[in-house]
Amino acid sequence: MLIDILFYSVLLAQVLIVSAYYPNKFSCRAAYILEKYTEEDYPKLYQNSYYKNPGARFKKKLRAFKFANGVICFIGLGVLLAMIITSYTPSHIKENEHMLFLLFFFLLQTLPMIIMSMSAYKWYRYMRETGKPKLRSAKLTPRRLFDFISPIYVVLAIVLYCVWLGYYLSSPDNALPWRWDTVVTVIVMTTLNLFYIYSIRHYLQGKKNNPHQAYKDQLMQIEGIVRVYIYASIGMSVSLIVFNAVNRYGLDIYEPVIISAYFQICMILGVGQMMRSERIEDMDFDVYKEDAGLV
Amino acid sequence: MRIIVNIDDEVPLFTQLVAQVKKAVLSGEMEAGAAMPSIRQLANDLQINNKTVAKAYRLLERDQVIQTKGYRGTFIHPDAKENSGVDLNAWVLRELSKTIKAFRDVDVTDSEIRIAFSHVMHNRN
Repeated sequence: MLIDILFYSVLLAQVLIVSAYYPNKFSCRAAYILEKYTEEDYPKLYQNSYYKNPGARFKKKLRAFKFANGVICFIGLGVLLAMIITSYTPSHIKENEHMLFLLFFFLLQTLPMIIMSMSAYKWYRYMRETGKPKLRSAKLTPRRLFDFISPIYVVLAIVLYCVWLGYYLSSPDNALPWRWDTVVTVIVMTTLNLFYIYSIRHYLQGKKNNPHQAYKDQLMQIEGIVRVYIYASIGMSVSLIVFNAVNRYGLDIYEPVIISAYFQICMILGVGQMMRSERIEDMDFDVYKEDAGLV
Repeated sequence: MRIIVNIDDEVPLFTQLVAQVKKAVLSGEMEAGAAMPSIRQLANDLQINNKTVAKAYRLLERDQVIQTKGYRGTFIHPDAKENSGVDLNAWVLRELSKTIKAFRDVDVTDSEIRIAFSHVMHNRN
């Protein structure tokens, strides 16, 4: 009974955190920027080679984003209510192998955020096309990983990946010869970690997405991204170690609760961390003014 | 220390980079041992080709203004301040003018000098 209440509470928290709290925070940030930094005073913020009326376009996308999250939140609450009414408990999830539904629901919840991020990426691409400045500047200071995060976290991420790998492969289920799903899990985890390394390197040394972004803001963004990826790697390893332990010691009943909690931690350490790192009040919006100098 | 390049300037970008790094060293803004950004970072920040920055770094290394320490990165050379004052281009111009004057003094024609110069340049290896 206790596990059922715990599961319903954790699932409710997932619906509210992923589909209501963070999307609402994101919308408030965007609305604040659109209201305070208008197209007339900050033309470079809206500069775009593709859209005829970028400001209106962005407002439309924001409305669609809010609507999509509202619908998903409503669906989530509906499903949760149906589960409570029909007494659908974590043991049923395990018996009927419905764990994948939890994953699909989380993916559905993150879909609006992913689409918004892709739109932002495209937006910056069009922004870069609107004219490259003749005068360009750069700081003669190297950007290094440990300027943005303590080495302890990096070492921890590496150690935890190795611990997970050792623990996972030492499990009786994964004895030699390895099954295909064991190989796929190892490949996926390793590839994800390699992707994190590639992304961090890209943000440290690669081109900045937003051509007008102030150097201070660029550093703030890099710090946020570095922290998100390192924390994601740590979180992923810890979760998988916990999942393996749960399976090994016959605590399968807790698996739905742990998975839902994991998704929420991903959101808090991902989107939440980015919002905490890149505070609007600390950003330099003067670079978007018509007469702004070199950034 | 901030570096500024003008892509419309007649002066090649790598020359602008070399001149500004030397100026920063001479003015004391960049001190011996200070770390330099990687070629990739500087090229991306300035939105110019990696090869342009690599060429500037090669010239600065030749002039012993910077030094590369393997994987640790690129740093300002301990003798950078003294070496930044040396203008290798001006020295080449001076030496070449002296040589050409010597040829002219013994009635070697300009076209003969040009042909010989071109021949020497083509067979430099």
